[in-house]
Amino acid sequence: MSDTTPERSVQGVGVLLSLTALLLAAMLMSLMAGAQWSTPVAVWQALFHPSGLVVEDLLIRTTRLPRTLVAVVVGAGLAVAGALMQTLTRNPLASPGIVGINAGAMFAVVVLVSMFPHAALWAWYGGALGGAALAALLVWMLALRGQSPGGPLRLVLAGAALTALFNAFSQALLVIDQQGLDTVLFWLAGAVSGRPLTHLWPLMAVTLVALMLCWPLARSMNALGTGEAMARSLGVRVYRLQGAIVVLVVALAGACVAMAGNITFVGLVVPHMARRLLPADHRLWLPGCALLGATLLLLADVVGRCVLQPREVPVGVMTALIGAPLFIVMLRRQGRRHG
Amino acid sequence: MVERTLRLGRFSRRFLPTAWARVAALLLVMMLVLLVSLALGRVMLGPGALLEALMNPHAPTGLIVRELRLPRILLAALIGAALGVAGWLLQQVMRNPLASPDIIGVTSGASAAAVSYLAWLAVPLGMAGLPVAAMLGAAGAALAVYTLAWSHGVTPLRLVLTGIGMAAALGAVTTLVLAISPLTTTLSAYVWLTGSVYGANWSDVSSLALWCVALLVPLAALMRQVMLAPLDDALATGLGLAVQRHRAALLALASALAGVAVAWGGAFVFVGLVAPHLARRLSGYSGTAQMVLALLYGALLVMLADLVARTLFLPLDLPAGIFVAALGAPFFLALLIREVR
Amino acid sequence: MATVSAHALMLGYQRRRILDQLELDLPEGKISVLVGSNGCGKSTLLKALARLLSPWSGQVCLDGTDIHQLPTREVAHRLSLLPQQPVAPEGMTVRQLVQLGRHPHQRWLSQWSPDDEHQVARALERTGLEALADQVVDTLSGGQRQRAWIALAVAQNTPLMLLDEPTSFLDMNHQMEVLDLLHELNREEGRTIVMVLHDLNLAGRYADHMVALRAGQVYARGTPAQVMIPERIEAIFGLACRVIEDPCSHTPLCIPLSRQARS
Repeated sequence: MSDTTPERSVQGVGVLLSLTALLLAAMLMSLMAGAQWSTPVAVWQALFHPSGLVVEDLLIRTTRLPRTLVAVVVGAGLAVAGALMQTLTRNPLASPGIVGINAGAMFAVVVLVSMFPHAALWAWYGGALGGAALAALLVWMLALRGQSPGGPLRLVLAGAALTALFNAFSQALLVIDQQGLDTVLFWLAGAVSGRPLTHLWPLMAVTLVALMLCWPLARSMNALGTGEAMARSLGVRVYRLQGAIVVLVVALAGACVAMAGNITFVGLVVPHMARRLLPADHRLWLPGCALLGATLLLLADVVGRCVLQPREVPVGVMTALIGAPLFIVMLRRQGRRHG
Repeated sequence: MVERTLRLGRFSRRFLPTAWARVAALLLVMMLVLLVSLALGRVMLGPGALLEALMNPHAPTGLIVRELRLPRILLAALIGAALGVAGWLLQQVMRNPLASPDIIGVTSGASAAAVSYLAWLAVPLGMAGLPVAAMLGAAGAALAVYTLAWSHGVTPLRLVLTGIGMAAALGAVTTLVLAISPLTTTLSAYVWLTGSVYGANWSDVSSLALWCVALLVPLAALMRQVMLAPLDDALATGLGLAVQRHRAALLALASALAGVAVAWGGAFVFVGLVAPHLARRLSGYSGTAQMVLALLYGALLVMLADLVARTLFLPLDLPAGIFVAALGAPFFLALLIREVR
Repeated sequence: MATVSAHALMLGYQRRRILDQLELDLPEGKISVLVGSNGCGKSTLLKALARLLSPWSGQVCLDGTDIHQLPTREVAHRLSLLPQQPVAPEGMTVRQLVQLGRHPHQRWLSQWSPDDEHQVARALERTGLEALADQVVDTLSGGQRQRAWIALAVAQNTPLMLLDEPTSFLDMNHQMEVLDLLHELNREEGRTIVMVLHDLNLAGRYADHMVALRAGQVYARGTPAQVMIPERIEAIFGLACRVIEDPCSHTPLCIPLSRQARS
């Protein structure tokens, strides 16, 4: 994973700059989009010269701005979590959604909501983190341990089984506790809206810190891509690196699920798209995943806001509806290549 | 684990006496659970009262036992049996003990169809159409997964991955319908998604039983081919198996079994995952015994789950699916973790 | 007796052509070995002979009939196949594995006839696996495991056996163990054996008939002594070598020359 020539690096930086521009455009679009679209001028006014009297300003500042920021952070967090998992397991199908980590975090939140309906936000986050960690532990026991770690299929199936397990429990709890159902339903579907920014900033901070922490590890991750033994001979402390990656994945996935519920396929599909655009170097690839993930989640949210007006389609539904067909197309391409 | 041979004229079989002994033991346990389930409920019956309710057509409790409890228990058993066999068959065909009917999109297809039906069609058309909608959904999803995974034949890996993609897309549809439909629909949909045999009647039982028989007979005829399914394609071809044709047939049978079970009971997950695991222990490589054991374990699991769901929190009558997960999941995890060791 | 042959065979993966207008027929009752460098199409050819791949054009014939016209079960009565690196289902014992070999001979009614029983016992005895019959396949050594797979083919009881690199990833002693077994099956039971070997010297030692492939076509064929001459080996493998006589088996032995030795 470190075949980076200087020219490729320059090219990669160029790609990152264009992705940044794309992200900014998507953010602007997300601030404009709604039942009534605002003009870019109105967005500018609302952000920098707000007048307390214009309804549109209020709408942009209190509704669209928070969900835009949440979508950016969650999209970046999930995409990077997926990329990290793919590096860790050297399995292109790994992602927090596929291996059941998202479902574990959701299950924990559902338990929390049905037992303590008025739990504070930090408790949600703690719960989500715990659930994510539990799922990570289980998937490790089921699929990655033992003499024969057993290829991509075992990991995927173990993840599917765990997802089924957690979902079954979540559903059971929701059937028993109907009030809880009402509280969490939209969140379960995956949503970036509906909660004020003041409640979310600790989670956003955690996600951003976790994203930053990837940077110093990126070079060692390149070495890990060549295999454990090779990485060790290149002077990487493999266990420590793997442990760090697991902690980062759990923190990212836990925080993102606590913020936005069940958003699938971002962690799976985005790393693949980024891999096509960028050279195989984690220092370029991971930022690329973050930018692309944020952009895609924003776009999914904008589309979700517009397609079924006056209702909103939860963004998690949108990502699955867009991501799943993409995933299947990817599989068919691969199948054709390998006969 | 000593195999015996049975020969009668041209008929010949190998069989594992220990496995069939377990079949017999399980049948006994099932009879016991059946009797206990008949006796327990909001109206508790002693042995004498139960006997009277069963035998005497004019007994005051006869209606409860014969028209409410018995069909419900039998429906639970049939659903569990069908899911157990479907799961076992899929694990053979997919060559992986972690495969389950959810994997090939059957459950998610049925769920999406059933929830949409509950949201928009249940009021004009009534609840009788629900199983039909769920069956169509299951068949459609399974067919779509198979078609999308096809490229010079299907391989288990591609099938599973396509199935996961399909399950995610259909899950999103289900969630969408849930999110935009009124909360009353949502609740009944959630009950369906959890799996429940509440309100079962004799016509449900007879329809599902017919389906099960219709699907199990061809399966019994194909049992030899099922036992070759876990081999590499090259080996199986070398042994004279038309691999792709049989794979398609077995997948169709498994999907249909899971589909009809889900149609009448809702999305019971886990039965198809846990029951085959229990069956595989101690039953060697003998196909028929393993299948029968998966069938019985599945039936027993759902029967027990429904018994608990209906009696533990009286007067509440909870969906059985809750307890399938609660009873099955720890078992499943324990088995898997031990297997990995 | 059964023979397999190929006529004007064209075959490949995707757009890439692997076999090009290949003509081949193989002697009955002999050990034929396909050799060639990596990517020359020898494994592809074996798969085509075993009907695992369908040709683009041309045909593979089993006893003179197009193999794809015959029912696959009928083919399985005449031809058995051991693929490269086969994997046994988890937890399966040697006996269970060998019993699978009886599949083509069984019917729904009769799934364990006296003949089935006899053939399985004979296959286990033939391959010296009686003592290991109830061991789980995964726990065996490489050589034992390969013998178990050969036992499966023996139980299938076909006049023709196709094997794809039966010795790959085995230690030298296990390679000999497997090849000796195949040699016995050929000499004592008259089975026709067709296999791919990547070790030219082992091929030279055990082959009655050697077929060398190059660029998807048969480049040379005949006895090892006819095929293994330095000029031909250089053309097949791109390898400078000297050929001497094996002092034990009196078959040709190829000694590759290093770059230093050549100059």
